[in-house]
Amino acid sequence: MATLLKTPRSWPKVTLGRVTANGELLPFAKAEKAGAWAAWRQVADREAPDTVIRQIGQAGLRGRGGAGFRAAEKWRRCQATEASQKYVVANGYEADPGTFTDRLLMERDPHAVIEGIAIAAYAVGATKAIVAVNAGYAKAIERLRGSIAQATEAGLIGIDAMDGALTLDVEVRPVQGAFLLGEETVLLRALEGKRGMPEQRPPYPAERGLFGKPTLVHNVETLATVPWIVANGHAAFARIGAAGSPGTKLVQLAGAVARSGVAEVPLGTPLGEIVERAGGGMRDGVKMKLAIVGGPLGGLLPAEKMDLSLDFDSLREAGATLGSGSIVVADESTCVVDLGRLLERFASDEACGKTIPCRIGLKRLVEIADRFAAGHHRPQDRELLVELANDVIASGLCNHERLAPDPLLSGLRYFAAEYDAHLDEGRCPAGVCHPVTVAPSSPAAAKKARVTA
Amino acid sequence: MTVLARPWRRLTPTGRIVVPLLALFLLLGLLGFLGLVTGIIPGLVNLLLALAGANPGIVRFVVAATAILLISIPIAFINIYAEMKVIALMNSRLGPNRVGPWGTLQSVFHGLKVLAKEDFTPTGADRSAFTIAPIVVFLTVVLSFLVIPFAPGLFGADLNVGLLYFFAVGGLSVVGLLMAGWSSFNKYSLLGGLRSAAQMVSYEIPLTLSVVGLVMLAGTMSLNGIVEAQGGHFWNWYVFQQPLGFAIFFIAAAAEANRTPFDLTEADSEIVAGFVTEYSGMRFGFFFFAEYVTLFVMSALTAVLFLGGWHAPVDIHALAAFLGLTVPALSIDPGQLGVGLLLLLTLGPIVGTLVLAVPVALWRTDWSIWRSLLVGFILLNVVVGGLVSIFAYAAFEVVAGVFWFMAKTFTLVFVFVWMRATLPRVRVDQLMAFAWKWLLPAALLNIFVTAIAIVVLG
Amino acid sequence: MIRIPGMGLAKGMATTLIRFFQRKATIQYPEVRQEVSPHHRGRLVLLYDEWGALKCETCFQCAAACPIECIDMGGVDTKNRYHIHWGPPEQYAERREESALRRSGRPVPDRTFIPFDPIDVGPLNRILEEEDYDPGHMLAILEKTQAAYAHLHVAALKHISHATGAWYAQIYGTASYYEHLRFELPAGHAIGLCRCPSCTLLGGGRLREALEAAAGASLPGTSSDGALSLVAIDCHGDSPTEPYVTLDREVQHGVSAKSIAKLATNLRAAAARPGRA
Repeated sequence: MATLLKTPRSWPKVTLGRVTANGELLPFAKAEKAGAWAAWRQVADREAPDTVIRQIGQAGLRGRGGAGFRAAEKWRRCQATEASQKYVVANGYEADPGTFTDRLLMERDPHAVIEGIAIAAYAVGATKAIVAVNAGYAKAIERLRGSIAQATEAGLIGIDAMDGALTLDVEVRPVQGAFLLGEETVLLRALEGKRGMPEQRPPYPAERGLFGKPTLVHNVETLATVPWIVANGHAAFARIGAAGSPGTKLVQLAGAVARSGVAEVPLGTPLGEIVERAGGGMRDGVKMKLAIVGGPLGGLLPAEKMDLSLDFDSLREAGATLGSGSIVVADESTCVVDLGRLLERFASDEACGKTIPCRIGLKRLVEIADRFAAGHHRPQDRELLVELANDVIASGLCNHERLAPDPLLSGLRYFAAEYDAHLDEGRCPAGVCHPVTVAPSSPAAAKKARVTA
Repeated sequence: MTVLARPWRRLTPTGRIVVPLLALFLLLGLLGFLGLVTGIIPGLVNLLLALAGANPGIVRFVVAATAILLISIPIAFINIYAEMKVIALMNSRLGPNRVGPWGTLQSVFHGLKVLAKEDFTPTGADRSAFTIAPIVVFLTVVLSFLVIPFAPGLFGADLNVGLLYFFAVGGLSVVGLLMAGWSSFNKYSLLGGLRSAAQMVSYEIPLTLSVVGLVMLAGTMSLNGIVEAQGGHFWNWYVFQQPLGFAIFFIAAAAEANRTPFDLTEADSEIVAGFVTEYSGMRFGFFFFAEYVTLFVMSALTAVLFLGGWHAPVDIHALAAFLGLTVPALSIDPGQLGVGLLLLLTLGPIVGTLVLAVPVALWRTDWSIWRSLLVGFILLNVVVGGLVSIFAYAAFEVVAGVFWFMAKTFTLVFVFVWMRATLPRVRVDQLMAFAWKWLLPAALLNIFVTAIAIVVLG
Repeated sequence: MIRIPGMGLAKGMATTLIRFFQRKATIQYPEVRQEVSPHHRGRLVLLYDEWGALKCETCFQCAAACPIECIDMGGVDTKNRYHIHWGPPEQYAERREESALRRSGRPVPDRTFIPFDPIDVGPLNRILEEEDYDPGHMLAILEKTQAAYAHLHVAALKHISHATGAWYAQIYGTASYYEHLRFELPAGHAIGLCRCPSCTLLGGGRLREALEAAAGASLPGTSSDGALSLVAIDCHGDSPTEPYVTLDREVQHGVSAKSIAKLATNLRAAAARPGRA
């Protein structure tokens, strides 16, 4: 049920510009007429790789995988490293369990993804590309493979493509097995057939990645943006979105919104506006309490913070993260303490175990959060939670560790009153936590309390 | 004492040596000054001189004994260092080269190490014999120094049975060995001691017999006399008149000194350390030094008996007379220089350093001025020392004599060390067989032939 | 040649005297260091690549070059007919000694291997052939092996290790990390539950607690009697109105904490019939 939401016409479509309303793929010729592979023809063997990288740099493209790292930096570094073989790996794993933005993109416009990979490979000098797709996305895998076959047949990629000027071998590899496979170095280890644990960086994958060779790793959404930038120019791209975060982002709305699904949103749009205009506001009779922004490791933002603009920096400042672009809205029946506990448990379960602060620290955070919810916390637990969370973040080897304590920290930051109610008064305002005395604060909470009792 | 205890604790080990020495010097200086001022010291000195004038023999003896004891330790150090270095160089390796310039302080530290070791007596050992044995061995060696003539007039005592005295005293060391072996309360030490004693005793006979021919030629047993009998040029040396005697003496001397190839009593692979197995610390140090001093003494004796002692290979005066030249007599009277002497003494070092530092600085441009000056100063010392030595050699017979004596002795020490680097060890049965079946008949043959030659040739 | 007594002595002494004046062989460490060839390893050790496969090509050049002939090598020719041996003949019975077997390249009986039940390696060999015996394709190999044998048998992993050259420990590490790979036979039934924020908000937390309590296992995991396994699945937005729950890969609707607990209990009871210990 990958619903594509209708968005206001003023919101430009960069990655989803060519998708059809019903999600069916156009035949190759029609797709080409709609603009697929035009940028590639413009670039391949015509423009110098440095020019392409410079264009991407001037456009200011930032990675859409969650970290928001400047794409041109990666490209430049990868291109500058000498090696006998370079790789491009497209991260279509979509580790976030509730998100399907990348799946929608891969299913509905596989050409954009493959074309982006091709342009990136040309710019850095890679001759082999791997698209790592979640093994559960059968349709996406099929469509990507189809797109590759069509492009190969048309002589655009493959061996001696573009009239024998270059070689690019693109392969789709289904990957599954862990949440952490979304992390770039973990994905590379999995592709090498090893245990999926993150590596220390530097050296960055752009210098030493897959099998020790320079590898350019990008989210499929980032790569799908590249043909648009090349075709329409960096200035046009920089005009879209906000300063410092140009372009659009595929956002998934879920939870207590009227319409849930994926929408392409220009960066810089306030969160409240997204919920209103794309999601149709809250469901009937329900008031927003908080929004989980950025996936399971995102931050809990209260309704007052809904005027925050959707971009990398302001969300990070607020204690959330842009991440996969998931905005899950919760109503009054949600208990922040309980939610924080459950999300933290997810983070702890998915920790790979390589670093001690993550492996044990997250477990301890879960224990503290469980004690909060159960009502028998220790007097120093609150300070301990903050200190431990900060230690875990500071010692992070990968972004999992750095983002994992966010549900708890942002909950403490914005919903201190609710935490106080749990800890000092021994009551859960939302009526969720046991064995704290239930005093439901809303009919929805009462209903929930009856259901779960 | 407590007021000194705290500062004493804070001194480093070097400080604990230097500071008491300094204090001692200051005290002595003070006493000396007081003594001089009050006239006590001049009075004492006059008294001593009067006593000495009355008993020249005793004075001479005391001076000689002190000198001998004092020089035997440095000689041992030099021998140890020479052995380590020469054997290493012959083994294509470098030997000690870290401690001191070119490793010269290595043997000094060996000596200090030996001092620092634990000094124990094994249970069951005969304490008095155990302690006295090394002293006996060391003393025999030092006593034999007494008769060796280092230079014309420079000897301990000119006994007219000097050679006999030498062998007699040398034989006493066997007593020391046996005492060591027996008192160690260790069957291996006993066996080693017995073997060692057997070796020493068996080789003493060829040793003494090989020089009988020489004594017949020289007509005297006094070592000084033997040296004087070899006066003139090098063909007068007895090595050319008694080649067989020289060979036998040399080999027997090696055996007497427990040197390779006859060192099975102290070889580690043979019997641990023979009779010195149970010794440690300074007692072992005595045996250790005794061996190296014996080496020197044996070389010295060979030089004295066969190589002309303190004679130069070519007698300058005889050669000059032969050529019709005269050797200028070198005499410089420093008193004549007057003020010039004062100027020389004060300005000489400074000017000399500067003059010699200039070429150094020009040659090594990357060195600092101070470094060049220091090197210049060292060079000045070398040059001045060299000049003084040459002057002394030319002016004083004693200096020349000592120089030649030491040259010959150390050449023979080198030969002994060279033999140690080259030759394998003999077995004990081979050892005994060689001594009794070969050296002894050879020595007797030597005497016989020499006697016939003297009778026939006059 | 007349044998002059003492000539040996003289020759020996002459040799040492010549050595006295010749260049010395000492290298004054640490000021001067010995030059070593870039290939020098300092120890007699064979190199392995990152998967544990030996890099040795058995070209015999090292044994041929060794000046003191201390390298003993053995190998088998490509058709497994002759074993080639370079080095001094063994003192022990060459064909029986395990180290000799290993040197000659013959299969060595692996004593730790034997206690595990053997498997039919036919399908496994085909899989390895498909993946070109490449340890870089380890995930694909393991997934196909699991597909063929329903779980990852120790014997299978050992066989993969022998065939690809990768260390067993590395393969085991890879296999134990990924959640879709399992070492035990699959449990009778599998209940899947999504943990995404949306499903959590819709009551997933309560479902999880109830399920874990009823199954006696944590998510992910297997119950102790092996009847029921709990799997963490991702809804990827497929279930916006209720928590995403599957039973044996079929999506269940209208699940509550009570109903899921009952389901789990029933499944376990059904499996715990007499006859199945």
